[in-house]
Amino acid sequence: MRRTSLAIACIAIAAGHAAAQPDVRPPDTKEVKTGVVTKVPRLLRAAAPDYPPAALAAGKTAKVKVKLYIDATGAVTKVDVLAPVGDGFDEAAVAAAKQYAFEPAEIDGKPGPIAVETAINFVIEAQEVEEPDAPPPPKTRTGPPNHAGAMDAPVTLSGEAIERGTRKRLSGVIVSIVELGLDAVTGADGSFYFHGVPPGKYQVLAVDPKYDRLLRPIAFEKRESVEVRLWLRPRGGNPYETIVEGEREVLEVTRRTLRRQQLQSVPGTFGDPLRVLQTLPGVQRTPFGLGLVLVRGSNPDDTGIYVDGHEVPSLFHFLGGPSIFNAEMLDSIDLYPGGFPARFGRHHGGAIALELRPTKSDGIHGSAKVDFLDSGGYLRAPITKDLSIAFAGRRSYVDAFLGFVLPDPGPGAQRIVTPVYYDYAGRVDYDLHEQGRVGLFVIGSSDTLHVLDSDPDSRVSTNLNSAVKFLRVIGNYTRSLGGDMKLTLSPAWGRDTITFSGAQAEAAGPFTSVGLINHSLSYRMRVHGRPIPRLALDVGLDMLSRVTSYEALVPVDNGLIQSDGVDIPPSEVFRGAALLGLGAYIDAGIDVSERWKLIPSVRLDSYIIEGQDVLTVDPRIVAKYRVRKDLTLKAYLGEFSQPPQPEAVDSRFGNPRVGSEHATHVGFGYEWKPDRLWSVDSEIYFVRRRDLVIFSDDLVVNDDGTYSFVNFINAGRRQTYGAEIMIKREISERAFGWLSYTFSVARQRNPSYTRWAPTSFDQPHVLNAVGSYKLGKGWELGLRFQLASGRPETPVIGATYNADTGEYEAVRGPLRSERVPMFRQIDFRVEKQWLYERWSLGLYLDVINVANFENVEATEYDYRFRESAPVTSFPIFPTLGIRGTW
Amino acid sequence: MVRSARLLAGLAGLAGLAGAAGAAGGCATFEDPTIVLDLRVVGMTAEPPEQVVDIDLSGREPPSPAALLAQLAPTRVCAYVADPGAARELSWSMTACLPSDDLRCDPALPQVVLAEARLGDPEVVPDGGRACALIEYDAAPADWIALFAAALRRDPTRGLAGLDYAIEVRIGDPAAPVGADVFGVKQARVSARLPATKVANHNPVVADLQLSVNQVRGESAPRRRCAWRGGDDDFVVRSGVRVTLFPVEPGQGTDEPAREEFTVPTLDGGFETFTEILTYQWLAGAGAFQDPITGGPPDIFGNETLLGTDWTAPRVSAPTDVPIWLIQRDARYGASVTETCIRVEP
Repeated sequence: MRRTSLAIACIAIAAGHAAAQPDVRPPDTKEVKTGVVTKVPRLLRAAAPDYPPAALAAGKTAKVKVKLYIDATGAVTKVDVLAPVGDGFDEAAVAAAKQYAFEPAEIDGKPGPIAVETAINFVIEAQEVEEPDAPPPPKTRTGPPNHAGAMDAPVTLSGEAIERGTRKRLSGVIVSIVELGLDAVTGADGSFYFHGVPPGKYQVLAVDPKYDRLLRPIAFEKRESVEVRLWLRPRGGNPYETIVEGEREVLEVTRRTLRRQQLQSVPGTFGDPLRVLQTLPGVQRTPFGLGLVLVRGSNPDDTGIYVDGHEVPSLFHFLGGPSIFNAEMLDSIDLYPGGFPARFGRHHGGAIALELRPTKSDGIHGSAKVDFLDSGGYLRAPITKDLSIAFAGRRSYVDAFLGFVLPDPGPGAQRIVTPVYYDYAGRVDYDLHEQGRVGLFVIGSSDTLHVLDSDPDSRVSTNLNSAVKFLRVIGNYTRSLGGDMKLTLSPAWGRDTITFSGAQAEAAGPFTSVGLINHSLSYRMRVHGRPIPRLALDVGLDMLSRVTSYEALVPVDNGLIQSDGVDIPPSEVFRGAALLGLGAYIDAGIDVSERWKLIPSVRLDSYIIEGQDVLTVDPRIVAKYRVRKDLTLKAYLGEFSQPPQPEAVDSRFGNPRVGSEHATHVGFGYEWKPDRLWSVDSEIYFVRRRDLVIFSDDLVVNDDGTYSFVNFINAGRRQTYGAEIMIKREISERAFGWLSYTFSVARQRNPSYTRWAPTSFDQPHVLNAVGSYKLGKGWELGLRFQLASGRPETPVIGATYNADTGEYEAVRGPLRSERVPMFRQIDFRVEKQWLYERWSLGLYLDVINVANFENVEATEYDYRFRESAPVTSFPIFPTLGIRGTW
Repeated sequence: MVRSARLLAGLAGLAGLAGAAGAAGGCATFEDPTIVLDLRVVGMTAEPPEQVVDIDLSGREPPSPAALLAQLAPTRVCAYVADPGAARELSWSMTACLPSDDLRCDPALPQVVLAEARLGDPEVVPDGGRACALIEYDAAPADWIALFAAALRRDPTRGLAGLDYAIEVRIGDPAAPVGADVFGVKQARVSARLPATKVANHNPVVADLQLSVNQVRGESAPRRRCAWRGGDDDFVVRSGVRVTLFPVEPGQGTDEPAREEFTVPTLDGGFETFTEILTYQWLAGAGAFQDPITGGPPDIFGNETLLGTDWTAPRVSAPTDVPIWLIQRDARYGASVTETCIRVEP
C-alpha cells in the first residue's frame, strides 16, 4: 500500500431537482414537452474525468456546474457548462459527462428526454491506492430490490436509509455505489444490501426526491463487512411534510384531509394542525377566535366531531385555545363540509373525522414543545416487538402571565383570572399479525376558568367558576377479512362534565350553578373494502347509549303560569335524559363505467329518547364523472337527520314529543388537477334544514284541565347556499400554500319572523390565503391572510324606556340586516429547524394579527342605546416557542 | 347530548370570557346611566296599576266585554320627565296599546290615543315635570274592547295571569325633529278574580326618604322638586360629601308590612301566594351613586338586601341644586316616584 496524490471527480445528479422541474427543454427539439416526470433518470455508468495536469500541479480544485441533456435512451447528447471555471476543468467535465449512461427518465410513464443540472467536483486528496484483489463483481440482479451485486456473494456493504431528526426508516431510496454502477432500492425497513463489493474506497450515493441528495465516502478492507447509516435530510431542512390535500375517495363526494405531521408550520396556528381546519373552504371564521367549527353556515351543534367514529364534544380548548388532540396521536383529520357518507350520523351540518394513529414498535420517539401559552409532549415506545405504548400531555400556564397584563384592580381590590387547560392521552397497541391489531386509546381534557373580582368600595363582588372536561376510552380491533375487505370493531365509553357556578366573593356557596354530566357508551362495527373490483362497500352498525344528568341551583317556578314579581329562591334541580340509538348504514361505491361512479347510501337511525320512539331514514346518492384524466365532475343529493337535544325532550322543561331535525343537501362541483403541483376544487351547494327545534312560550290545555307550556317545537327553518373554491399548491421542495374562498348565504325563519333573516353565523365571504416558503438551512417563513364578512347585527334605531324595570329596550331594525366591518388578519410565522441525526430542534415565532388590525366582533351600546362602541377582537399577539422531536 | 354538552361548554366559555373581559375592564366607557343630563322619562306610574274584574264562568254565555269594561275604574297614568340642560317647552302624547318586542306600540294592533299636550320646562315650572293622562274606558269602549280582545288573542296564557296593556308616552321638543323624541312605556294589568280572594295590586309607597351624612342620624328629605323653591327645608351638603339615602317603607318595623301578598295561577289549575318584592332605582342630576339599584329579593342565604344607597355630591364652584329621583317598583306594574332636591355648596 502506498500513498499518493490522486485527482478524483465526484458527480451527482440532482434527480430530485429534475423531478421538481418537469417542463425541461429537450436538447434537440424546438418544442417544449410538458408532462409529469414519473421516473427520474438513474445513473448507470459514470466516468471519472481527467484532472487537468496544470491545475493538479498547481493544486487547484474546482466545481463545474453542468447541464446534461439525456435522451429517451439514457444517453447524454449534450453537455452545457453553466458556470465556466477555466483551467481546463470545463473541458474535462464535459468530456467525462458525455460518457455517462443513464436509465432514461419517464415522462407520463414513457421514456423521454430530460435535462438535469449537476456539478462535477475536482478535488485533490491523499488516498491510499490499492490494487484490487479481484475484478468488480458481475452486475447480476436476481435478488429483491434492496439487494444489489452478485447475489451468490456475501454481503459486504449494508445499511439503512434514515430520516434525520425523526429516525424514520425510509423506503424507496435509491442507494448507489457510484464507482461500480451498482444500485439498490431500500426496503420497507429502510435497509439495503450490496453483495460482493471488493475492498476499496467508494462513494455511496442516496437519492430520493423528498430528501437532499447524500453522498458519503466509505472504505473497507478485505474480508471486511461494513454497515452504514445514511441520514437523509428532508428537503428544505424541515422534517415535517407540509401539505393540504383535497383528497377524494370512492365513497365521499368532498373530503378535505390533513395528514399527520402536516401543517405544523401554518402561521397563526401555533403549530397546531387542527386549527388549519378553520382555513379550509366551507368553514366560517369563529368570532373571537373561539374554538367552534362553523361549517357552511350551520350552527356549531350541527357539525359532528368524531374520533375513530365516536363522537366527542369539542376539538379545541376554550377561549380560542389549542386543539385538545395531540397531532402525534392522529393519523388524519378529515373535513366533510356537506353530503358526507352515511357512516357519519346524527348530524345535519358537516362532519369532522379524526382518525387515530396506532403506535409502532419502531423505537422510542417523541416530541416536546414549550411556548408562551403551554407546554406539551409526546412519547412513544415499544414494550415488545408487537406491543407498544404512547402518551401525550399538555398544560397551559396562561394564568401565570395574565396578572401582568390585566389592569390594576385598584387599592384594596382583588382581581384573579385563572384560565387553565390541560389534556392527556394514552394509547396501547398490540399487533396480532394475521389476526389483526387491537388498540386502546384514552383521552381527557380539562378547561377551567376562575374569575374573582372584589372591591371593598362595591357591595357586589364576583366569583365565577366554570369547568369543561371530557374523557373518552376508545377500543379498536381491526383485521383483514380477506381480499380487500377489512373489519373494525370499536367500543367506547365517555364522560363529559360541564359546570358553572357564580357566587359572591365572600360567600360560602354559590348563588347559582349549573352542572351537566353526560355518560355515553357506544359501539361501532364497520366492514369496508372492495368485495369485487367494481364495488366499494362501507357497511356498519352504530350504537349509542347516553345518559345525561343535570344539576342546577336555579330559581324554579314550580309551574307558575306567570312569575313576574315573584321571588323564587334558587333550589337544587336534578334532571336526566336518556337516549338509546341504533344506526345502520351502507355506502356503496359502484364503478358504473370507467368514467361514471355512483355511490348510493342509506342510513337508518332508530332512537328511544325519554321513552319516545324516533325513526329516521336518510337516503343519499353521489355521482362522479371523470371528464378527463385531470378533471372530474361530482354531484350529490342526500337527507340528513339529527335527534333533538336532551333538554328539548325533558318532560318538565322541554317537550317529549319534539322530533328529529332534518336537512337536505344538494351540491355540484368539479376537481381539476392541471399538473402535479396545482389543483382546483370547487363546489356549489344548497342545504335546506327543516323541523328545527326552537323555543315556544305557548301554553296548552291538557285533557285533565291542567296547563302545560309547549317549550319546544319543530318549527324552525334554515337555508344555506353558496360556492367554494380551493386553489392549492402541493408541497414541493420549498413552498406550499392554498387559497380558499367561500361564498355562503345562511338564512333562517321561525314562525315569529316576518321574513327570512341571516343566521347568527352567516358570513357571505370568507377568504383564506396560506403560504409557506422554506429558505433553506432549516428556515421557513409563513404567512396567512384572512378576510371574512363581519357578523350580522340587528341595527339599533332607537330606544324605549321601560318604566316597569327602569331599563331601556332597544328599538331594532330588520333582524340581522347589518354587519360589523369586514374582518381581516395577517398572521406571520418564522421557524428555524436544526436537524441532528437523532433529533431535531425547532424555534418558532408565531405572530397573530401581525398588522394589528382592529377587527370589530360586536357592537356595545350605552344604557339607552344612543352611544355605541366596537368590541374588538385580539390585537397583535406574538408567541415564541421551541419544539424538539426525536 | 354531546351537542348540548358543546352548547353548554360554549356558554361556560362565553361566561368565562365575559367574566374575564369584565375583570380586565375591557368594556367601553359610557355615560353614567344614573345621572340625568338631558331629556329623559325618569319614571311612570299608573294608578291603579292593576284592576280585577269579576267574571261569571258558570253561565252558558261568555261574559259580555262591555260588562267587563264597565267594571274598570279610570286609571291615571303619569310620566315623570326631566330635561336638564335645555330651557324649553315640551310636547307629549300618550297612547294605550299592545307593545311589540321593542316595547313601542305595535302599529298592527288596536290603539287608543289618551292625550296630546304641552309641558312646561320641567326644570323651571315648580309643579311641572309630569305628563299625566286619565284613562276612561267608557269614553271609547269599542276601541278598548278591541284592544283587550287582541291582548287575549296574543297572550300565550290566554289571560290566566291577566291581560297586560301598555301606555306609551312620547315626549320631545316641538321644534326639534321627530326622531329626537324620547319614549317611555308603562304597563298595566286587568285580571280576572281568580281565585275569589284575589285583590288588585296597589302602587307601593315610600313613607319617608332619610338623608344622612357621615352616619349621623338622618333627616327627612324634602319631598319637592328643585324647581319648587317655596320652602326653607333645603338639605345642604358640601362638594364631594357622601350622603346616605334610605327609603322608609310604610309600616316598616310594625306588624303591618308595606309589601302586599298576591296569588299566581299554576299550571295544575291551582294558585300560589307570594309576598311582593320592592326595588329602588336611584337617579340624580349630578354626583355619583354607589348602588344605582337597591332592594330586591333576599340573597341565597335569606339576608335582606339593603334598601339605601350612598350618593357622592358633585364638585361645584357655586351653590347648585341637584335633583334626586327615587323610583320604587313592585315588579307587578306598581311604582311610585319620589323627587327631592339637595343643595350642594362648594
